[in-house]
Amino acid sequence: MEALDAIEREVDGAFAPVRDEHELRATHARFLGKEGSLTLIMRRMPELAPAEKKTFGQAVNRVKTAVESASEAAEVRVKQAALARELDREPTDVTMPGRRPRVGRQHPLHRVLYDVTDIFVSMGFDVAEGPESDWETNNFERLGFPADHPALDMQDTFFLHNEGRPGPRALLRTHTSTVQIRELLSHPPPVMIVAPGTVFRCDDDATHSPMFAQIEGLVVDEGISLAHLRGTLATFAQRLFGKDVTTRMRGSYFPFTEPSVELDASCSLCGGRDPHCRLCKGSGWLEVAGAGMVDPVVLSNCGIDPEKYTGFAFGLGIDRLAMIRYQVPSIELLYSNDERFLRSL
Amino acid sequence: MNISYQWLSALLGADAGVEAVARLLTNAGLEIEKVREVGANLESVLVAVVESTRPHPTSKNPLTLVTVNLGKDGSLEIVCGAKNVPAPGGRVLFAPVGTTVFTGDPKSPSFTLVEKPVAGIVSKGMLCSEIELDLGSDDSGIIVLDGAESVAAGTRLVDYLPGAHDWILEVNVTPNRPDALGHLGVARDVAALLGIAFGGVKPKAIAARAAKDDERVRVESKTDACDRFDAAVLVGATVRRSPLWLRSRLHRLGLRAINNVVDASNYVMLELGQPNHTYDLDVIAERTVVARNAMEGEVLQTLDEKTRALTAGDVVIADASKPIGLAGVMGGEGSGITDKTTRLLLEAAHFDPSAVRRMAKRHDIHSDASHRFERGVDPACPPLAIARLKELLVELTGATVVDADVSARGPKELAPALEVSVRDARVAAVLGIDVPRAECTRIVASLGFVMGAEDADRFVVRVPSFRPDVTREIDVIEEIGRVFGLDRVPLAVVPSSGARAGAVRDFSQRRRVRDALVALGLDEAVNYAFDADALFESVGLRASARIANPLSGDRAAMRPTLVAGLLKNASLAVRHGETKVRLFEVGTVFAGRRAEDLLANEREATAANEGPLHEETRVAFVLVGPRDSYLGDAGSVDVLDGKGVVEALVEALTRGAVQADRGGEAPPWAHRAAFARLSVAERAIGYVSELHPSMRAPFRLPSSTVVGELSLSALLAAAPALRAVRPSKLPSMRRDVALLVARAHPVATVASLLRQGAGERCASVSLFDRYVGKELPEGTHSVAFSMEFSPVGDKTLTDAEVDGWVKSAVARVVQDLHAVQR
Repeated sequence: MEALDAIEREVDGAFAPVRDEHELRATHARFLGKEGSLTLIMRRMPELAPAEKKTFGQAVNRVKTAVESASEAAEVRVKQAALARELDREPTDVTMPGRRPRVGRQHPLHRVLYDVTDIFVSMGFDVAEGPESDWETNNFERLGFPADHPALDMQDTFFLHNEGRPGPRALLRTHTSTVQIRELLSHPPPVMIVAPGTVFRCDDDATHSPMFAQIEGLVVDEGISLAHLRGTLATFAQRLFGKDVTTRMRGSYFPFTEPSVELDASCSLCGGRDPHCRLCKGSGWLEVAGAGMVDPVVLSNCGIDPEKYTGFAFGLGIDRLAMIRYQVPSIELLYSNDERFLRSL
Repeated sequence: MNISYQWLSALLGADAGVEAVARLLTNAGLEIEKVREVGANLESVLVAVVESTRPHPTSKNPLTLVTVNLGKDGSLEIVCGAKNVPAPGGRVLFAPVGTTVFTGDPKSPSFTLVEKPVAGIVSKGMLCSEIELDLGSDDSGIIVLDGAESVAAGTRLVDYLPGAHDWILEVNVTPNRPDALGHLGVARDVAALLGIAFGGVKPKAIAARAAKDDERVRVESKTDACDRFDAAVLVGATVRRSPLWLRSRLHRLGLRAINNVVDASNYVMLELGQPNHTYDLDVIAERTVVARNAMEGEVLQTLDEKTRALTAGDVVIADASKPIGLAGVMGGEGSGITDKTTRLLLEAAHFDPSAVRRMAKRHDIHSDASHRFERGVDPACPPLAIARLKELLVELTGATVVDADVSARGPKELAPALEVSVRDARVAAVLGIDVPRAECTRIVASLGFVMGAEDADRFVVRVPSFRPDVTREIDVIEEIGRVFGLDRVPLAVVPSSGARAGAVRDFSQRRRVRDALVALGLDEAVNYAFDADALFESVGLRASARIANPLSGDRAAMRPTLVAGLLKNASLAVRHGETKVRLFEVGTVFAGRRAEDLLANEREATAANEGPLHEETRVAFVLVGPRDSYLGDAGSVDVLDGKGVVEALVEALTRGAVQADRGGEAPPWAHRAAFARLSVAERAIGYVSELHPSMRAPFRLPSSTVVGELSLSALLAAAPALRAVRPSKLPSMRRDVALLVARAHPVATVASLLRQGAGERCASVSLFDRYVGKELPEGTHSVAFSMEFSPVGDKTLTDAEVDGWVKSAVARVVQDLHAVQR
């Protein structure tokens, strides 16, 4: 019993200096391991007289409980200390740059092109496309451009070397309106498409690029009127520029639409209130699209009865929309492919 | 086209306000691009009467001190530098201090007059030249008013010269509206838009005296290109400077004043839109004027002092001996008006638009006349133009009209006026709004259409000769719409038809690839589809499709590759000091079609939604400089970085596996020791390579330049149908194996043998380390693979069976490749 008492007196002192899990396990083993002092004493139990066993057993249990509770207390202390040590390590300098994967930038023209396309697709349009090289038949004749007419000067054309071949002249399409012809020839109405794409004009100055992007729209069905055109483009303008934007429709001229109109949206920047607005130049309006009712001759040229079907068409310049959205100061930047420009957007 | 608001208002007899008129015209299709206020500075300018002059007492410059009478403002002495100060009693223009005056110098166009001494003498204003008041381009002296003896001293200039304070409307006249190339046509539109009556231009009838024999002319049209040719003769004209009202009006509309005869001719063109010409009758051989086709070999010196060789396609105005003008385009030297001219031959004719257009193009002349004729001048206008010219010239030159008018017709019959039937229902169907019949007929009548028969559901109109653009019902509907107000058209929603597009290509595929490459950290470039041959030659390629009329001679080649453009872009970035470049482009490359290609036929190709060139969408990228790393150095990119981009792209798009080999015909830009042909599902999709060393220098690119070019359709063709994996609940097991093997054996071969040797439980073999060092036997490397084994069903893998599989895998490599396990 004296030995037990001695062990009991040792317990608190033994666990007090324990600092980590390893020491904790060692200290616990000093008492209760295979060769632990308490274990050794308990192993002597069978030698005792039955009368002593009860008292001795109770004493052993008391000491054992003391060891366990001291051990548990020490464990809590050790864990807390470990936690504190981890949390109190030297803080990371979080002003160091993050380790990050490189992020690529999509070209601003395509961001706008896809946004615009998505708006029309959400309104029920499907996407059509045609080749970038085409013939004057599809680019001019079937669209009703009069031969030898100044209307042809509206679109300075890049012609392709014909290699001495007979037939219509090959060219780089001057507008996505070629897709109107290709779509109308591909299946009977109803037709409801937008045709985004690259177009070319023999023009290179501060405000023109010889290559640029357009999106064409075409709806042909029974009972389509100018009101549908206006409703479509007004909805588009509101989705693109904001719901407070209003539109106006005014007369214009395109050889392949009749009547022809321009659709303007109220300036999304100043709302028409700033006479020095950098966006609308004080006019209060932004040109959104050239448009109109499909000229009956275009339908006839594609084998569609213009008495039965009517339609509208429109064309938007993607470059200008991109320049507005990203405040691009000159159109040539859009095709500069200067990394400093591309990565600024 | 520049339109004077004051002139417009005078024609209309109404002043509706500049802004209102501009807005109405813009909405109706005659877009006003700009309104320029002119002459606001003239409000303070006064007509002054010269009282006396004396030389400046001290100045060495020839300055004059002019005392002028300003009426109720009394007299002032003004310092004047002009040499043409008139004698006492002459009328000049005085700008008091505070007036804005112009310099003619675009760098500092105007300034405000202040009181300051000139050569020691203070003036309270100045006597002005045309340039200083922006009333003309003459800076040879001050303005001296002719025939103004009765004008009181101190009269305000704006009272003496009505319309001096004006607004110039810059109208964007579309090619379909030749009628709007004169003030008359624009006024007609404004009247229709305002709903006011408009009487047009009605010249005063001028009494003519009987013509003598040598005052008669013979006029004839021998060509279909000239419908009608009207002429008149005036005698006793005095050619001199035009009065200020005429000079200033022309100046403000962008024309230079010449003399009273030429100015009157230009004035009539600006008013009626009818180009016309005046000749000195005394130089016209045999007083005969003929419109005829030119003869091969004829020459004409035009008014721009160029000698033109004429061809049979040209149409000329000729006298009895020679051409004296290019019909509808430009007059000739030698028959024009000089100071000595006294007898005038007036011409107003109508020429075929196409003929004039061809001539103007052939001779590269764009004149005010050709601009109008090629768009279509009113064929009924010549008599009106002649009458108006006579009226003006009698007033301006003091000439007498003789009774020698001639009107010749061409060999071709004039087309009769068109009648167009318009259905009420069609108006509503097209415009989407009901326009009452009465409103429709009011509109077309106000535009000069003549009403014909009407019945319950339609009306007939006769199209006026000045509207060649209107030939069909739909054209009349446009007229109704634009005058009624397009802005009154309501908004309607298209009932979606659910129709699918028929003309389709690869829009969504391009988009997916762009999105994926951006996600992989590359920036997108957009290059022109054409460039210089030299650019493509610098990557060893030649364009097979070319532009016939390039912007500049060296940008005629349609690109056969995207790589060249990207290298140019990378080069630019490196020149700007960028060390790391990651660029891609998705775009079209072009090739000429061979003649035997069926799609070289326009109809076949259109039906197949193809064009005259073979077009292919490519995906290309360029990587330059260091790999992505954090603070440390991860080395520079090489061909495997390029391969990695393609692998990741394929994984993102189709989940296919990319195989690399060195087969096929590598592109010229490939580096023979560091390129790969890449394939997915046995199909080649393109090449990736370090840039050929000899091609680095032209682009000034470093050795760490990697390029790749793939076919979009091949890339996406190999998309297998994806099937979901049911993940096993049991753990898979992993073993690492290191082998010493000859470098001649591709790593893919080693991995493939390991996998074969390991049997079907082996799910993957991936290289995780590679070591090359001097301590290894010559020509070998150490490669370490991680092999993954997956359980099947509910049977857990055991260590023993996995060890067995690994052992047989290693044995296979040892046997086949003489590898040594490490």
